Amino acid sequence: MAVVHPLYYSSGNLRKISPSQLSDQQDYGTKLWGKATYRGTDLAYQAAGNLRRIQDTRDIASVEESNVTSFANNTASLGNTVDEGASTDWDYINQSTGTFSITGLNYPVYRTSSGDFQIMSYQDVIDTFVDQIVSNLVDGTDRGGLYSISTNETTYADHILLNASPIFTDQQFDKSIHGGVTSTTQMDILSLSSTDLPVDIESYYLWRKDEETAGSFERPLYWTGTDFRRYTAAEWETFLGTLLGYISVNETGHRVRYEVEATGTDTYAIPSYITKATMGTAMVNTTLASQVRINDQDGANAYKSQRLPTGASETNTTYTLKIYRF
Amino acid sequence: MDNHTFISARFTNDDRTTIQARWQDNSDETVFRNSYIVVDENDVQYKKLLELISEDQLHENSVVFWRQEKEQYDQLLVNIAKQSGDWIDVNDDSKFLERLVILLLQEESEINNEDIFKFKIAVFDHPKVSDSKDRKLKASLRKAKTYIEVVQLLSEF
Repeated sequence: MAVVHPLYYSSGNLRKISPSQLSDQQDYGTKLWGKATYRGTDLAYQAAGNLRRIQDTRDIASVEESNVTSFANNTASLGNTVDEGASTDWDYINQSTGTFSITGLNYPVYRTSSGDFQIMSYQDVIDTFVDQIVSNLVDGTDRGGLYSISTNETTYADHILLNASPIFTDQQFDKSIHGGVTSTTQMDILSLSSTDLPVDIESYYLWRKDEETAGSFERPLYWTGTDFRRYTAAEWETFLGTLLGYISVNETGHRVRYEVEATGTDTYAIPSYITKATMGTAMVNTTLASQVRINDQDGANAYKSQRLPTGASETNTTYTLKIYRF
Repeated sequence: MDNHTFISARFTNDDRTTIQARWQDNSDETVFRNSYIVVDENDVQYKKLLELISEDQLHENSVVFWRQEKEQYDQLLVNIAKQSGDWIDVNDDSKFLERLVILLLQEESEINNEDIFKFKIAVFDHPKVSDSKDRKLKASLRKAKTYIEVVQLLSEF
């Protein structure tokens, strides 16, 4: 690891940037991620996306039992509700990486400890700028160009909605059909149209934060072959942005990616040694915690009984969109 | 949550591994949104949430929420029972008497053994019966199969 301090021009003198000025340049580089041109990793709303799918599971009703004599006659054969008996896969997040050419770039100049001028190497750029920029990108802060999950469905200040359709909707058995009762009740609701009667509980959407305004910083110098020249704003943006994009796609330890992690019944984890952070709200797959027997006499000789999901919500799996470096 | 004001938060599960936070949209105060946060000491969002609410308050909010949910459920049961005629307001004489007539006219096959047993216990506890020495009448009362039979025997004490 060799962090160097590039030179900049100040009132007729060549000066090496201070740690504080280097931090300003790293902040500027972090904000370049907000520009699509330099963003190494993008997400999109797309069917059959390549990030791990999110699964909604629902408890379903038992099979209905019926006889012509009494509700009691249904008891022996009446089954239980089926925990997570129905499921829907939500597979709508697709990740892609950019392509960057890093040939023909002019690298900044610094002064070695022995006083010689030296052009920064590719590795020096990683160590001096990109390593910290990547650390910033995966620290869990919502920054320009980063993707996150929100329950906002329409408006979210300084963010763009990737698609009006949710990337995940948590559903449960619709307990409103029996009012949420939890002890055996006689109600005129059987037979059901299906043992799986889902109702939306919460929907989650994919957003990207808009590009953020960069602060001021000192532009370094590069060597033209005959003299030192200060990067123009456009040249420095191209240099740092292109290398950031390339390195974030290709360099081990500095690659930036997203994945969906999960804890609970559908657990999936990025290895713990990898630096990662949650982007936006977690997404919970919930079901109902208990069951209730409903009896319904339809006519003089039809005694119907069925067990339906009911009770409070219970969280089966908590999903999170993670950004990580590896 | 950006552009939102924090309202409250509570755990969503018994294991207390996930938190639901409630927010109000600053640009439209009628809009409220949820966010969910994994309880992880290394998670930035969890750390930020703890700047808005203490862990103790999270636990307290969860208990209050679950208690309110139970109270709402109990009230729901009462409403359903009232609608179906299974809940009688004893202060409402007309409804009580209407229900009493229905019970007195129930056939043996319609009566739940446990219910009539409880009714007989209440009758036996009444001083008019408990103080009586009429063993034959008490034996008949024990064998009664319907509410009206119990009432008829009660009138003989």
